[in-house]
Amino acid sequence: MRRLIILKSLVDFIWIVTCIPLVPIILFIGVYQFFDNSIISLFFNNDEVNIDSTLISKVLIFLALMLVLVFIYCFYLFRKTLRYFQKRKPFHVDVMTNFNKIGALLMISGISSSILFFVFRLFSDSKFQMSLGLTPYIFVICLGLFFMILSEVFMVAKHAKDENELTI
Amino acid sequence: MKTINILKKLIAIYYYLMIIGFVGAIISLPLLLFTNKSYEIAFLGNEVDLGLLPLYKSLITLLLVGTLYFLFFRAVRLIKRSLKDLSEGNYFSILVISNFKKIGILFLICGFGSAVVKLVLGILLANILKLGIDSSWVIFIIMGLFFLFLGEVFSKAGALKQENDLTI
Repeated sequence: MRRLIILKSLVDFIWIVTCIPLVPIILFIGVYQFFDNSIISLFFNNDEVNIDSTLISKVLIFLALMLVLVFIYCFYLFRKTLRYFQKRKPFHVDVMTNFNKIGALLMISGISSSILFFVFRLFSDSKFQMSLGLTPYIFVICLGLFFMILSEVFMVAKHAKDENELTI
Repeated sequence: MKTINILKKLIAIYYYLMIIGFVGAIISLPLLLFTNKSYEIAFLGNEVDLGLLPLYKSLITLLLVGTLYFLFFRAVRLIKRSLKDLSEGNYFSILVISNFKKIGILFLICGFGSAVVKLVLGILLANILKLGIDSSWVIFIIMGLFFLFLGEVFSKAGALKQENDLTI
């Protein structure tokens, strides 16, 4: 249980310090960049990312920011699930649905972010760049699949627990 | 259980790509280290040019980064082994539980190790003492703690299933 307390405290800390302030900032930038493109250069180094003011670039940046929101939502679901663990209800139905949701969202966001960055490079840098190696997107997709498997395994454990309780 | 098979294949690809990367590094490093040519390695968002450094600094950097990558590689190997057991339907086997605990410990070492290595590299390469919370190693710590907790939950579920099987 001590590990769970440390984990929950760490997750809470990140949630309060990073995620909560990030949500309004992302929403603001996502909308404001359509009116004034210079706001993006506050966050990105122009040497690293070549940002132009075309509508396609703006839409792509908006979509990328929305993907960050999806990651934050996954983190929120994870935090919510940890609360069930703290209440000593690891096989609650919500735990399984949350794991399944996190898995599906991570998988979708992993695939869409790889497509998004491919398109971004194609339009902004005019580069056709594909990498099949160790990219963070594969890591995110793997993490998503792992959460989906966890949901299935927890379901099996829940059945065993229910059967056990009925037998008693 | 289609999800497990997809994840198993992805992890296997990831694992073999890591092996190829390791072999490539082992072959090319000694050749490039003594030729004083530019040789950049990327580590948690930092890029270090080993060709420009004195030999002892290059060796310390390589040793630290190599050790961390090796620990991460071991964790990936354990995940690969656990997935094999999980795909065979042995969800709560002793192997899976002990592997999850080992993976948790390895991820924790990787997390704390990355923070220490970043600090040491800052002092060694730029003479800067910089302390801070970085998302790259905090994620490792969260994952490590989560895996340790999963090990506990799986052992509990395993006991329940065993009890259930004995009752039948």
